Amino acid sequence: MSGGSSSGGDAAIKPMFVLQEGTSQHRMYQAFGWLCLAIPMILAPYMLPSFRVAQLAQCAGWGVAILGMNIAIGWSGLLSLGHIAFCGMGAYTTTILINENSWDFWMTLPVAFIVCFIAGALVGLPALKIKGLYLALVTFALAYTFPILLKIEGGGIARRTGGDNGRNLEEKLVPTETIRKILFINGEGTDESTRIAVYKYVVAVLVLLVCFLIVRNILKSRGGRAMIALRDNQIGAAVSGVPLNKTKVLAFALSAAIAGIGGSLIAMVLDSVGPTVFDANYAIITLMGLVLAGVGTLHGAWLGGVFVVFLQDLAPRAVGLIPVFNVDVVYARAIYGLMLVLVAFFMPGGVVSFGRKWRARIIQVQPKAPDTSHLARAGTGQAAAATAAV
Amino acid sequence: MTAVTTKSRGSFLTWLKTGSGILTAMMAVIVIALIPAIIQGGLKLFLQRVFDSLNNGAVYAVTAIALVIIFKATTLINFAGANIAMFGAYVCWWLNTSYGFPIWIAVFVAMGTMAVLGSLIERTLIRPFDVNDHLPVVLITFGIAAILEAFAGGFWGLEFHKFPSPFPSDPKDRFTIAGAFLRYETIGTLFVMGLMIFGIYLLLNKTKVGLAFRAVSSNVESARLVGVRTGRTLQFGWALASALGVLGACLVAKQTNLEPAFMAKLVIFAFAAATLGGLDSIGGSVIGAFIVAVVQSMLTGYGQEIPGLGWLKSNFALVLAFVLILVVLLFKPAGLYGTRRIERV
Amino acid sequence: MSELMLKLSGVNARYGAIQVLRDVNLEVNKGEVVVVLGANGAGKTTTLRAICSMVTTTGSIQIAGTEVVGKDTADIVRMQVAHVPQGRGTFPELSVIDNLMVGAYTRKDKEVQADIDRWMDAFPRLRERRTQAAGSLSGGEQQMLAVARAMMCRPQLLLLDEPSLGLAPLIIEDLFRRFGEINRETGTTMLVVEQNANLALEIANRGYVLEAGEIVLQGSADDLRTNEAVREAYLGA
Repeated sequence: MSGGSSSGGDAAIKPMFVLQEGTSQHRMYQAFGWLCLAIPMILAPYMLPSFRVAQLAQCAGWGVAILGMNIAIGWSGLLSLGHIAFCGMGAYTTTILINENSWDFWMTLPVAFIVCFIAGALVGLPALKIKGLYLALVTFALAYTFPILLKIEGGGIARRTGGDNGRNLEEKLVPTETIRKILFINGEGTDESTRIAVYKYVVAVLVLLVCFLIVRNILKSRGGRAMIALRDNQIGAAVSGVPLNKTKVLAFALSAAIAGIGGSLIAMVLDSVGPTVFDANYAIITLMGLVLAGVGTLHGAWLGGVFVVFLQDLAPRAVGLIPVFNVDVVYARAIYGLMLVLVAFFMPGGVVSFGRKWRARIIQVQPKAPDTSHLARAGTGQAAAATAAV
Repeated sequence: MTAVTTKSRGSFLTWLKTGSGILTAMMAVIVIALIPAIIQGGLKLFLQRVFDSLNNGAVYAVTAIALVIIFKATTLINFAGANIAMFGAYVCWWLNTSYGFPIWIAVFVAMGTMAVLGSLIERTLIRPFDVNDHLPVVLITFGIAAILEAFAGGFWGLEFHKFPSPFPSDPKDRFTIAGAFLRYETIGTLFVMGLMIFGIYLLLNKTKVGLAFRAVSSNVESARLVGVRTGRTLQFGWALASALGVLGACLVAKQTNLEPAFMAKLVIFAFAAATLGGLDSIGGSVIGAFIVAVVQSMLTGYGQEIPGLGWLKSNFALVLAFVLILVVLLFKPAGLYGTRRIERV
Repeated sequence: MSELMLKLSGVNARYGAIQVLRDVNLEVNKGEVVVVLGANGAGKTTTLRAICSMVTTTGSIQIAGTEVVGKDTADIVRMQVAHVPQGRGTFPELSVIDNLMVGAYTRKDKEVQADIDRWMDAFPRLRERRTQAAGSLSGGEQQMLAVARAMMCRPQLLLLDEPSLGLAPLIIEDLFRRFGEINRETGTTMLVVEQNANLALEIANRGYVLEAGEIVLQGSADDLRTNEAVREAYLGA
């Protein structure tokens, strides 16, 4: 898609500043960028009312889910409409393990990862070996089937999932004394619910950060380059020795697994799970979050989480401003749909690409001259080129 | 003699290992598992379940054909199709209950309206994109689906509405065959479906626009080179598919009642039917539709008597449809009658 | 002496960022057979695609005096231009009869059926297989079908893109003999893109040589046949 081409495309417009990659100015500029992200992230839980903090924690949870979706949709070009079901599987795995087996929240995450990885492979395996939109078809069906799967009475499924009503987490995540000290939430002036909200926020953001770094490293790895090569040119990738089927299934399973971690976080933040949080409606909302933020961009993940949570707040209000439509909540869904259409038309790379294009007019980073000594051992030249697109 | 038997047994085993063999074997297992329950239930119950499934089969067939038409021409799966149909059914219901249109007039007006909407969608939202770039087109059809669902809920409310039956639907309107009831509604639905398939056959095989449509489906580039206006032909395909979808929705709405998501759930059965029959085969998807409907009716009806399947109830049929899609894609991706070579990658 | 059927002047064509044709000038008179020779990737196919407006083109292309650059492909076909694309260009899922019918898509007269009979007489194999799907025919039969299909629109200009590709030598010879016949009998103007220079020059009046998107040589068929450079590059002598 429109990954790294932005600097080349706008060559006609002279940027205001040009930085050389690797110079101290460039490093300062990078550090400044990260600080702009990190400072609000660290200060937010202490400055905002607790319900806002809880919302931000949800953002982080959905952010992880969208990061997972992005692995499939953005970087591997595997069109999935049903990742919401994998989120749900992660969320229910965590809930059931905590409620039925009294597990610790942290211990449930690897299990959620594995469960969703296997589920992703099972769903992906049949659809991925055929060319075309079959994966979209299968995952669309999955999004509608998952809420019904939860209500199956055989094998005690409905009893464990709580069926229509969902379930509350019986063991809520509560910070220990040491953690309270570290996070400065042991003092007075705040009530217990605020402290828990802050703690959950920290947990969710930490997990998001870890997932972010893992995915970033995967994308730079051999496997990640294979994924991207496969998205950009299947035949080219195949003749360069990328095992298509294996890469696709692995990428899809991994994306499902990370979406599952996102689901676990959402269950933890909300303290409950239910079929209405993981239904087709949320399939549209999360897809909207992803494409609006930026398909195939790392920063699209957390930004997408922000969109998912806050657009659900904003959309009904926006509809409420239009006098003709009185049923705001119902029409909010039209806004999500409209976003999908508008993004496809006017902003195919989402907000992140759009922002990059504008940034390129102000600041341009000139890449270092490539070190040719690498080429001798790099082997796959195409994959090396693909790294630039990340 | 011996040699012949071994040879035929060998080829049987080979066949069993092919996609169709595995699918058939699975069907056979299901049928055998059901036999005791069917015998116990008696002929009357069996016939009743078959009759009950016919109605669903007809509706799945109509909906599947709508999908197949767009898939054949563009290899796109129209995720908005179900909700275009749903919206049409609402329009029909609204014309009938609020303005007193006779039901069949209302059906035709709704079909026409949605045909116009479908062709507008193709012209303005789909045509600007390259069909081989799947992401934007999927986003757009998915987005349209969400918009239509929201508007249906907004205009007409989220509650269930009773849909008027287009056929005589008094409880007494039925034939009795071996004690089982065959309702006039079922016969009517089957009749309309048959008429429609015949109509589509004529349209595609005996008219110029049908010829153009088949040419575009077969080879877009060559179609342009013989002077077919491909854009307009696809627009025609969208209009036709949308109208058919509305017809399917109107035929089923009496049983399911109207609510904004009623077709989105049903379309998964149509997906299953089309996948089973072959996503590019109209005839195949009709056969697939009846297989899906009969299996659904039998499994949810008798399934509870099979050990381990006690949880099977009619609302879980969706799960069966989903599993069927996976199984078909795994073993016979082109479906039973798919003609286009499904490319493995 | 005779009228111009096709005139390309200063034609440039590009696929995205890649320019394929550079300032191509080419003329075809009414009733002529003109051949375009060139190596793979020289822009032969693109030349034909440019005439049918299937690639981004600048410059001027006139068909029977009408400017066509920027027109819709369907409208150009309606000027009785038929194009047999590389790799057959039949409709594999359609029957032979339907392929011929769709070839006459732009016609509104009543003689379509008569023309179908005529081309089935010309290619009796097609009659034998008239209800079969085109995709099930052999390569040679498919090429005959593609040509017959193109003739169904009663073209004044027939564009043939490497008709010999992938066919056995005997079939190719037969095919080119047919092209010659069609040209003599119907007076159809032909622009043939071909790698098999020997055969093509036999039926052609004139020829052009394309190299890397530019015309480097032109002349009568006899001139080209005796030209040293052409002999070396395309005639294998």
